[in-house]
Amino acid sequence: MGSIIDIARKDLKLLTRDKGAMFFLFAFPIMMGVFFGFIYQGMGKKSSGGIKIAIVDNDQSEMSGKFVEHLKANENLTVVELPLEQAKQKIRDKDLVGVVVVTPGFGENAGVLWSDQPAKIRIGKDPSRMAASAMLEGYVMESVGQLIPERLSDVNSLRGTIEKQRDQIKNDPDIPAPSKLVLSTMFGSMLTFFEDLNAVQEDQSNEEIQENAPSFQLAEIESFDAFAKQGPAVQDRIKSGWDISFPSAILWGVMGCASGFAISLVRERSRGTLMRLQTAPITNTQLIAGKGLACFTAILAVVGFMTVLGIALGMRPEQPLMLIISAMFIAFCYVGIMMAMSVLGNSEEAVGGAGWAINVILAMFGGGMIPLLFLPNFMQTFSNFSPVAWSILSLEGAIYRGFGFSQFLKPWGILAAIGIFGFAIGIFVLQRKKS
Amino acid sequence: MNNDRLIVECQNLVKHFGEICAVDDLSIGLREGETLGLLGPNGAGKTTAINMMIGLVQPTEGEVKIADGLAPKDREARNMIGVAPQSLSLYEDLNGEENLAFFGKLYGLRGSQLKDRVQWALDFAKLQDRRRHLVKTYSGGMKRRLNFACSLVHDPKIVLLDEPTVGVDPQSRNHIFDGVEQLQQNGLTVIYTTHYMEEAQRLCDRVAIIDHGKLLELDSVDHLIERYGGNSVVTGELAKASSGFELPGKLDGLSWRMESNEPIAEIAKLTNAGIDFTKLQIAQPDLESVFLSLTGRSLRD
Ligand SMILES: Nc1ncnc2c1ncn2[C@@H]1O[C@H](COP(=O)(O)OP(=O)(O)O)[C@@H](O)[C@H]1O
Ligand SMILES: [Mg+2]
Repeated sequence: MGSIIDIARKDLKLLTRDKGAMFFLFAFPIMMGVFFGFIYQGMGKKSSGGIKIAIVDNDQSEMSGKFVEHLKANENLTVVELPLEQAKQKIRDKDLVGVVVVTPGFGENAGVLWSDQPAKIRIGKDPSRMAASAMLEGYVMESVGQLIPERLSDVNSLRGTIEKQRDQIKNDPDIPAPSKLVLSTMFGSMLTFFEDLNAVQEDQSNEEIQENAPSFQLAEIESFDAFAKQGPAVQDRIKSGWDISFPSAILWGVMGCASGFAISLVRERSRGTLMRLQTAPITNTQLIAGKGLACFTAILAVVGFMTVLGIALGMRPEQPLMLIISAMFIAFCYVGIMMAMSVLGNSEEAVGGAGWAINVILAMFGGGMIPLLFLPNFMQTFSNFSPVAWSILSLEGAIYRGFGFSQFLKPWGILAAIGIFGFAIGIFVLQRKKS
Repeated sequence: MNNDRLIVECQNLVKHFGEICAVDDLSIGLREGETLGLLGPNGAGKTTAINMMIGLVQPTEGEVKIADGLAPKDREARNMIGVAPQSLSLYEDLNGEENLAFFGKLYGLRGSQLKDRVQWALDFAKLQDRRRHLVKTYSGGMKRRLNFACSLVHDPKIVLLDEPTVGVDPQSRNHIFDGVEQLQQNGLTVIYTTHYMEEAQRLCDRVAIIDHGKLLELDSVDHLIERYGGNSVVTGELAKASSGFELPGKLDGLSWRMESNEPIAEIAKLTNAGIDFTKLQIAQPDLESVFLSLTGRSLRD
């Protein structure tokens, strides 16, 4: 054990003296985290189409049926009908972005402009996909809006209330920008639509009704966190954009560790120091364990450092202990990946290049660069194979997803398995090279 | 010192790298306390032979035994052996002291024992004043000296030095020679590979001459020269053309050249006979001549 620690300490010392490595381990993740943190705070994202959601129709009325049809007709949504619990599970598994629940009584109120009680819809969201959730809200509103013509009795009064509603939304600080954009476009087009209608039904206009119209709400949307059985809603769970941006930023530091130590293993060979290590009275296992320990420690240091920085900026991990355990599984996984990377080539350049290529690909497919949601479907499928995706999920589980212990087991298990697999590849190739 | 005990024994070592036969049926026994030179041109198989002795390269055939029959990979054998590889093996981003301490720790040194050995090694390498500087700032000679010292920090009994003077300045070269002599005085067993025959001649008790992976001869320097060195070559310029006296060797105008195994006696005879020289040079046979006569080639081709 003494030798293992000696080797690890030596490697960590070397790491701290490598300015390039230190940049990729610390400065680069900070840049990624801060950059995307600001982006998520602004949430200026556009859909690439195909937000996958589930719908639960608890009303089963004629109107709710029409609402579901409108949602399904929306090109930007892929809608499946599922029981609520199943839908929630799929959201946790990242198969779905959200679930729309039509509450009983919806049919009586939906599209009725003068009702005292607005139609109620609940939307279960994935807290990490705020941009998509906001858009989903917009589409739900749009579909509810499409119910209005079905009940249309007076075009002019409708027009007034819509104009009013549009202004109200425009001035509402609580509605996120993309929703506003979607809603105002929607209301704009609705107004032109009603204008045409108006021309046809000119003689039916009645100004008095417009004056007396009660305040109107298209539908009342209530959000809930699809991740939690109960507890605070999404908006309360995610304390800041940093909650979303830091997990992937942390992963960049972790990937830097893996490729850095993979290079250092090859460097031992190219600089001849491996020869001394191999002639010293230590076993190969101790040698590799020493490297692994150094890599493991460096990863924990990166995660710890980024977490502290994130907290300083406003990130609020809900489950610190789970965060630490997740960090350990991530570290273990990436030590294995480091071993596999180290046998990718014979020179430092080859291993360095191949290592980063692998990192970038895994990050791309795993949501480390662009959030998974905005990736094409085939890439989202591939994310199941990316340790980046599982690492981020386990971090998010501890930071804001409110994972229970059992929910951590899947990402942890997969990370451990990838780590063992990487180790096996590394050792296997090393043995073969030697003989 | 026990001259009969073999401390390193190579038995019929063969190493193939694919088509290349790097070492071909090499058998060498090393006596405790002696300095053995492996002399041969580049590519002769010296490094490969060394690597088999320390268990880094697995022989295709044959066997290496350390001390009383230990395999080179045996823990005890490893503790006895120190290697200064031909390719420098140092951490460039650590300083000299850190390098020594790290390698010392690998051999289980701790605390004051480690500290003492590191200090000893820094003195040995004459690097005390640069011990806190990163190795990457060292000159080639300083790196070589540190590379040498790193092989000694754990106080081994057997030291293998693979071309320890390649790429060093004359001053460092002398430090290294002094170092080897210091080890000899301390009774260490040294294996010294080189393609510089002067080094083998100066430092080694016995020299193994290796070419194309084969051991051609193994003996003391004196014996080798006696057997294979041939005669000394005497060249000179006569003061005036000799009259009547029959000179041995060849005369070309005033330039004269002669081969002899007793050159001093021959010259004394000539001067007694009244022959004057304006210039006189005796070239004694050396390991270069031995190599030439064994292989028909020069060491430095
Ligand atoms: N790892 C290797 N793979 C292939 N050929 C090698 C390897 N190591 C040495 N050789 C070859 O074996 C021969 C002997 O090399 P080496 O032992 O380094 O000679 P020396 O140390 O005497 O210069 C050379 O022809 C060299 O090219
Ligand atoms: Mg060599």
